[in-house]
Amino acid sequence: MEYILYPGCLSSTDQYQYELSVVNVLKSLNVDFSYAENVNCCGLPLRSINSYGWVYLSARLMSVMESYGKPCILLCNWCHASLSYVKKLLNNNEALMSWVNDLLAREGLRYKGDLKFKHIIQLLCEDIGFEMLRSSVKREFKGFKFSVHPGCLYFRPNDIGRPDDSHEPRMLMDLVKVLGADAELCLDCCGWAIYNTNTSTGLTLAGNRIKLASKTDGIVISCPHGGIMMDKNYEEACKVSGFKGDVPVLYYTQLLGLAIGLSPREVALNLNKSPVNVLTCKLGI
Amino acid sequence: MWADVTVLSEKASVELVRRLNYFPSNVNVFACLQCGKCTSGCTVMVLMENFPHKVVDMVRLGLVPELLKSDVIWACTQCQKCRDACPQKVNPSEVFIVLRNISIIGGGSVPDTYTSMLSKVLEYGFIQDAIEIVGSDGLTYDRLKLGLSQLNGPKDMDTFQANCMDAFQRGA
Repeated sequence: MEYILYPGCLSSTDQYQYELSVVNVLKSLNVDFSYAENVNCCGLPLRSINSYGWVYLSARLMSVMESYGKPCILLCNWCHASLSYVKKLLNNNEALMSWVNDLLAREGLRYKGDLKFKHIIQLLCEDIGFEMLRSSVKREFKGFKFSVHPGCLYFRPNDIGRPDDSHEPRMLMDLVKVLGADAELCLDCCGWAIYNTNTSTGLTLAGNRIKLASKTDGIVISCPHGGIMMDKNYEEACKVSGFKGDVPVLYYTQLLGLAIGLSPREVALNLNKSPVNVLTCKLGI
Repeated sequence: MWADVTVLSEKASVELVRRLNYFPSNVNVFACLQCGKCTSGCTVMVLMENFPHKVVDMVRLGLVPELLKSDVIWACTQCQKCRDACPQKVNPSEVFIVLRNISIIGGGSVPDTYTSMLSKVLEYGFIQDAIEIVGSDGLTYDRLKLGLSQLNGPKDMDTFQANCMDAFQRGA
């Protein structure tokens, strides 16, 4: 099967280690994909300003990607939740649907509602599968224990339809275990959304989350919002919450890349701000 | 924060429902039992003294103008824990969004970060332009140096901008 890739705002403008590790992992696993063009922000971060603006942006993004006639890979929990939510709203509201299609028509676009999209974590679990991943592992993480952070919008809110169970999300846990590592689950919030209006609260949430993982070998994430808060803001978050310690924070696709034999450079570990060198030292690479 | 109000007048109630329904989301403040499950699980309850069940109660008591004057409507991190926890499907996280929307439509100020993200969307299609990152090796990286393709924003930027302006001003 061939896919189109939409990395989303934060992965493609800031969290390059996520996009790059996804691209290199997909290539290694022989997954065919091409980038979607003429795309835009899903609008969810701007929903606080105006919900209609959000619906327009998500509907536009879906209508553009529908035109490829291929399933879409998303990297961001927010994009996935946004498209799931807007799809549901539009399917149940003719007035909203015709309003948004009138806007889209000015660009020659039309939202039909048949886009298939998957989060990269979903794709790895469902389309590539655990067997394939297990057989691709060249570097096992035996003896490691990771704190698994699927991120709020991957499994909440339940009523818009999420890929994983809202009380006990398993996908990211199982993916970490496939690599030979032990895993513990954390369902806390990284604080990105409140960081926008209240920096110290956002950093405190991120710092407290990092602190919870102090006895593990690192935090495994799968959303760029967690990457911004816990990796990019690592130093500040630890300072605000009074935590001193080394907790590597990295994307699952970076961990998977290392496991299947990619070099630290190929999964862009040099772009992480958290102490990921602690992890590579333990691995002896 | 508890309100000294007993019954909404019929007129006020109609007006309240109209405002809450400005957008077709599934908010249902009138079903709230005040059980407090939303508040007990709230990510920012302790840090920001946010009590979602009280905000829901204030809304149905008709105290929306008071809420719009308060910072509490911005003290929510949209983690959606309350939405999943609510036994009555009241949807507190959505109540916060609707209140923010109503506030801004009514001329209330937009927090700086949101203004900045919207202006970037209008300019590039994304909430920020691609930035340079200094790696742990001390070198500076951008998409080109990492071998990543250029950003693929909207091709017809003029129409995209005009549509955004229309959509983001709907209700104002």
